[in-house]
Amino acid sequence: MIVVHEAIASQAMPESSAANGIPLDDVPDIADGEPFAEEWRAFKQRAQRLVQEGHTGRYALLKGNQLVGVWDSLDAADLQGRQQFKGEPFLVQEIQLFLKPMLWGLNRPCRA
Amino acid sequence: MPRLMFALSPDGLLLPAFLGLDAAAMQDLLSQGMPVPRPIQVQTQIDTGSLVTGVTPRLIRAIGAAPGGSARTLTAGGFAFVPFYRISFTLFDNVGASISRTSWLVTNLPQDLPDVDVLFGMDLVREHRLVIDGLGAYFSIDS
Repeated sequence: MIVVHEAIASQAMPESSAANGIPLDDVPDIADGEPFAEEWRAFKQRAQRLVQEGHTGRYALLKGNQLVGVWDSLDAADLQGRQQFKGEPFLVQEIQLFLKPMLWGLNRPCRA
Repeated sequence: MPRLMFALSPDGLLLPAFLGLDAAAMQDLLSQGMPVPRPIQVQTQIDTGSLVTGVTPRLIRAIGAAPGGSARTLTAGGFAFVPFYRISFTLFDNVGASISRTSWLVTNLPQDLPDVDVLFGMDLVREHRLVIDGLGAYFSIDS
């Protein structure tokens, strides 16, 4: 019975919905000249290939239009970026084909 | 292995902490002959609804943390690039047990909160044993 439930659930819920994510193709680009415009464009261009190469769930470090590398954790990618770029902005993006929401304190909005 | 114990508050899993700059940032200041800000005592909360530890904007300003990487995400206000910071912290209970980290990745919360300055999320929970005893009205966290 559990197997049947899992089969139904897997058909009913696409990956992006399961994570409450937005497919990358539906995420708007950033206007040229705005912060992270180059990095975001570079990430979107490479995301499909990175997923195909088995990097899903890892973290891409991008600076300008360059993919600097891929790390297992957000912490490791951020640390590398700090050491390499010394106070300059850089992007550390989880490798997925959809954009996940950032969740904080689910009880907070009700108290405001 | 330290085990910190706290009373279970009606408001949730509240625990006191000291927060400051991460060790690397402190070292940078020291090497430049600059004063290192003292850690600040704050009220924090363990919140399993948070994925990544969040710190209020006022506390980020108070400790003088500088942003590192940013990630694009979806927030209540729409798409946004969220910056990450590094802090150090010490959790402590009233019998002297403590858990410390010299570098912990956090992001800034969208706004200041009236009652707490830090929401420790699942990133902390995944690295510790958290026991919640509702009937006993306490919770504990092991390193």
